[in-house]
Amino acid sequence: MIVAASKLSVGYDGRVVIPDLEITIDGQGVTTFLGPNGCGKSTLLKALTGLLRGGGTIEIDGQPLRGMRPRTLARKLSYLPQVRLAPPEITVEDFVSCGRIPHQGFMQRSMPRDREIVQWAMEETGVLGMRGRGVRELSGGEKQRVYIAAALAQQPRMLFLDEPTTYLDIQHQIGLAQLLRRLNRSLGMGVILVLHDIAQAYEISDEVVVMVDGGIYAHGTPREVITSAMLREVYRVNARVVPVEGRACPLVAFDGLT
Amino acid sequence: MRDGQERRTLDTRVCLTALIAAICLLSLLALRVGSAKFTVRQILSSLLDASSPIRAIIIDIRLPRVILSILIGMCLTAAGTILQAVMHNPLADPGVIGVSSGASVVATAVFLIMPAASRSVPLFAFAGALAACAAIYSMAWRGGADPIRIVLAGVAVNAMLGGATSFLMLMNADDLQGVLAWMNGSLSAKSWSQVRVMAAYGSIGILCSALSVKSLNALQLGDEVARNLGIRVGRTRVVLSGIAAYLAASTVSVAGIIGFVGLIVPHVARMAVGANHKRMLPAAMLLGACVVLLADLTGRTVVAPVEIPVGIVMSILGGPFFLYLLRRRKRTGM
Repeated sequence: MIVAASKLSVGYDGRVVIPDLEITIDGQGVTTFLGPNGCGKSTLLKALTGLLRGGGTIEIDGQPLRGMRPRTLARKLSYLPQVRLAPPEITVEDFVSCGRIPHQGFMQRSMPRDREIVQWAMEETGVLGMRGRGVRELSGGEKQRVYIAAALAQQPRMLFLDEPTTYLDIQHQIGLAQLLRRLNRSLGMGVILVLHDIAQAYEISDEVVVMVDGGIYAHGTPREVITSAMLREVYRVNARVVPVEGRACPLVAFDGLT
Repeated sequence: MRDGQERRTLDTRVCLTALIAAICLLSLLALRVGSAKFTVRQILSSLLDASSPIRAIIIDIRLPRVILSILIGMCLTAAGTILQAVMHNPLADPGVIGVSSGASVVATAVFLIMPAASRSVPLFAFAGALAACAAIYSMAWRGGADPIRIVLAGVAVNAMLGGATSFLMLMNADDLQGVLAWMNGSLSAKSWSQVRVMAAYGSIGILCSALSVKSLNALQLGDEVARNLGIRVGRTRVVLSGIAAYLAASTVSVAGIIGFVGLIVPHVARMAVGANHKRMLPAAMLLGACVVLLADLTGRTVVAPVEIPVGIVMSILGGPFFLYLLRRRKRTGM
């Protein structure tokens, strides 16, 4: 699935965050948006999912996003916001079942096929064992997996996540990265995410998009994009990208501000 | 863990059965108790036998009241359940969106200024409730109706209408009898014609709320999540609030203002069966019927032969119970 934006301009309440942006994302792999705070990564993510309306055009597989029925869109892509409302008093299974909503009628009646998919989504994310527990009682890492399970139940062709690893400890961060990678490889589901951690972006991504001031600074493979020159210019920090023997990904070592 | 899941669905079935049994029991009790007391056998025979001497009391006086209690309990609770999900606010009830204040000001005006038209108070109250709700939504509208803006606009409109009601009452302090009785929500002296009105309005509202289960489940997860699930959030919130306002307004027009049912009952139902509206909505509606039946029964019996209006009973008993729920919630961290 290909997502393409041209002459895109978006903002909030009259404040323009992205003035004029062109991007084409080939949704086969894992694509990560990087950039300093306020550069417009989350805004771009929301615009690409149709959550924020603005000027310009966005096309999904050649079809314009504007005018697409929300329900049709919800079957193509799923978006996980960074800040979320406290979940209601609902079990994990009921919560994941909500992912089927775009495929169901008014009464949210579950067909055998819906139940199979919910079961599969819970297995895939490792939350099947907690299906009867309340979502509120879960830890941050467990909750995050439940949210991803609900997104999977939606059967999207592309999954958008806004800083999914924030607030998770390192074990859960790595677990989540592996899960996303595996979902991408085994299901062919495109993954587009916003991250702050540069090393993590290097490891997980096939493509990296670096943003500055609402525009695109660079777009390419991690090796092409994540360089000490980029870190100096975009983040204003001195850093070295050091290859490590026996590892595919280099180490990013920071030496302070420029 | 599979057990956990199955236990929960069983819970729901047991809950619903128990609630239906409770409604039957309370109804029977309500038919028995009153200025004349009857045995269950007498009641049953009066229902079947047209020549029964007590038929008039049971069928024309007590039965409409029982059925009305059930219908009103269901409608008020459905309205509260919808609003709490739609506003992401556990404190939402029909009062928040102006139903009570709108109905009050119009009813008061009719009672005091044109007493000749007081027979049409239900119609005016219904219109007033919906008009206040529409005013609140149009004030809160800015390319969509954000729950916080709705609640704030609600506070403003409610204060304004409350002031107007008080002013009207102050200027006509001698004829408040009818107004006060109406405002305290009473089920006394109701006939079959009111039951028919309530049943007609109520069944439409209840059908609409049953058809909203999916949207309710999606909206309670938050606007962004709901939008991501293909729900048109702004439009859905307005439609669902409209259904809630309609449900509440129809009860207000028939029985006056009965508070706390729409606020408390959804909480209890949520604690019992969880927040999945497929299970919660029916459980809440049945529980609402029980609560109103019980409140009216209490009001009829505690200081008999004087009757306490059901609205007053609900406020006196509902307030403390609500506090108890809040404290309990804090402790269990729900």
